[in-house]
Amino acid sequence: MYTKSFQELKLEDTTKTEPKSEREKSYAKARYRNRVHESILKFVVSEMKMRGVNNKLIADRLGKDPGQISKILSKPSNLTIDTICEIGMALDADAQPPVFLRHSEIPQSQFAHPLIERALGTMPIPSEPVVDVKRLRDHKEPQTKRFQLESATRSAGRSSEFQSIEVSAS
Amino acid sequence: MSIQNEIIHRHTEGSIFAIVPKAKGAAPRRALFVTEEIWTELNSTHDDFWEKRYGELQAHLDVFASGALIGPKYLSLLYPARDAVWEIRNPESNPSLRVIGLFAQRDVFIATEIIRRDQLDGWQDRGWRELKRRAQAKWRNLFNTYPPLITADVYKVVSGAEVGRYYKDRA
Repeated sequence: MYTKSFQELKLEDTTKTEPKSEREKSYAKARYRNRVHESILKFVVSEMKMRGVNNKLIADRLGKDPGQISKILSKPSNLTIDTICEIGMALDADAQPPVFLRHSEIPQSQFAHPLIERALGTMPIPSEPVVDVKRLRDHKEPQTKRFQLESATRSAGRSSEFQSIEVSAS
Repeated sequence: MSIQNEIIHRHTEGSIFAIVPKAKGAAPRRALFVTEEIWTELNSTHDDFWEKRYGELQAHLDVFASGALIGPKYLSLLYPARDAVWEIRNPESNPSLRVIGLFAQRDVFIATEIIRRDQLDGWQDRGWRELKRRAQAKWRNLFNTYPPLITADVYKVVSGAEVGRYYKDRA
């Protein structure tokens, strides 16, 4: 029996009293860890390119083994607030505290992969056999884009549920 | 019909399903499609342990779908390269899950199976060969006349990849 689909579980503003599900909680935590990890990796990589920094230098400045630094940077779960601070210090940088954004304040990105746009029903299937991906990517609606998400439905007799998300074009 | 149109056709008929990032504001910058079996598994209710695991897996798949930075610990090409079977690794939690699939074109991944890493032994284990055979069979079943992207160069399959070793040539 189908419950909420992958796409239907949304991190919505909480006006309900029911607790967040285990899946929602673990998703949110894992996603945040991934984003923090990516942010740090990008900074470290840019420092490596610009200033020739490497793991050994970071390790030397922190009194650690280079292998420890590689291990810390290899997985999101290996990062702690303290290790993030230390990496910043080693790179003469200041790790800023996190910022909370209300869901209602988070802007929806305008870009979507052309195939996803077509799959979700915003782009017509061209009759020509060759798809100009660049043209599809550059295509912009004048006002809004509407994404329609089709939730899971394979059982006989079960109607499809469509969920629309309004996206305002900038 | 092009591979893109074939993918859309399969999606329309319900053979594959698009995975888009779930979080607010996150856009699907890469195309990730999963087979019906994966979609069913991810949309079913499980006990708390697996609900947590699948929540983490969902966040992990969002890394690909949202166009975030990808490294060799995230994505890896299975030996031999000519089989064109890749795995998205999720080693963070126990048991580690692997999402197996093939690339239709750059930034377009068709996931055919999710498997627990602890169900497989070393790279020479028969289980890996069976896994790749099943992935290739599912690909042929979906896109018979279109070959997957066959390359060991990660930059030809994804944008936004870190420098690293994504393939171990075990020959």
